[in-house]
Amino acid sequence: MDATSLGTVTLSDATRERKRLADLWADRPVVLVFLRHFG
Amino acid sequence: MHDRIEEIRKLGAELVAVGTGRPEQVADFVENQRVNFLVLSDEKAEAANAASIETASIFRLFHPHSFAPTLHAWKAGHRIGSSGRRVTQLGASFVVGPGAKVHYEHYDEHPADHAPLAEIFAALERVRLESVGDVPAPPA
Repeated sequence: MDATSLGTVTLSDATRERKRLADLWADRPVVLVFLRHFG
Repeated sequence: MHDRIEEIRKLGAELVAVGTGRPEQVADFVENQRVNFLVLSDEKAEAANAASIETASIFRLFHPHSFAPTLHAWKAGHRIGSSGRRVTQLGASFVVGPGAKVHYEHYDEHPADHAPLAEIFAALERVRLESVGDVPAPPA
């Protein structure tokens, strides 16, 4: 998986605040889970 | 995995979930399930495409390997919540960072397939050991 490419993606959180994925794992490891459904 | 969040944080990591639904669905999920980690909306499949997450055919959605785990989960009381926009998209789990380094990846083979937690925690432990300079010797 190309984390550099994935890191350029920006997504919205529950408050519609935009988060750039690379910023999430810049300083610490992240367990990133892609869900098929909520719950 | 969300019930292991404190263990994840003790290893210096964070849990981030990416769903296929709209931000409103993410908000409902976070509120209703009292989620205490970041959940993101990948409504347009930008992240899924960048991570090469597969979509499943009808055969894979109802793969025989998924029958027993699905029944087991059902009997344990687990129920599927709100489906996102792409019900055919399979799941995946990664351990990434610090920086753009992938330490672990698991692409679900079918809907009932999930990354073994032991493997995720082993990857987090390796990252932790690397960060303190105590990297175990590679196997002979």
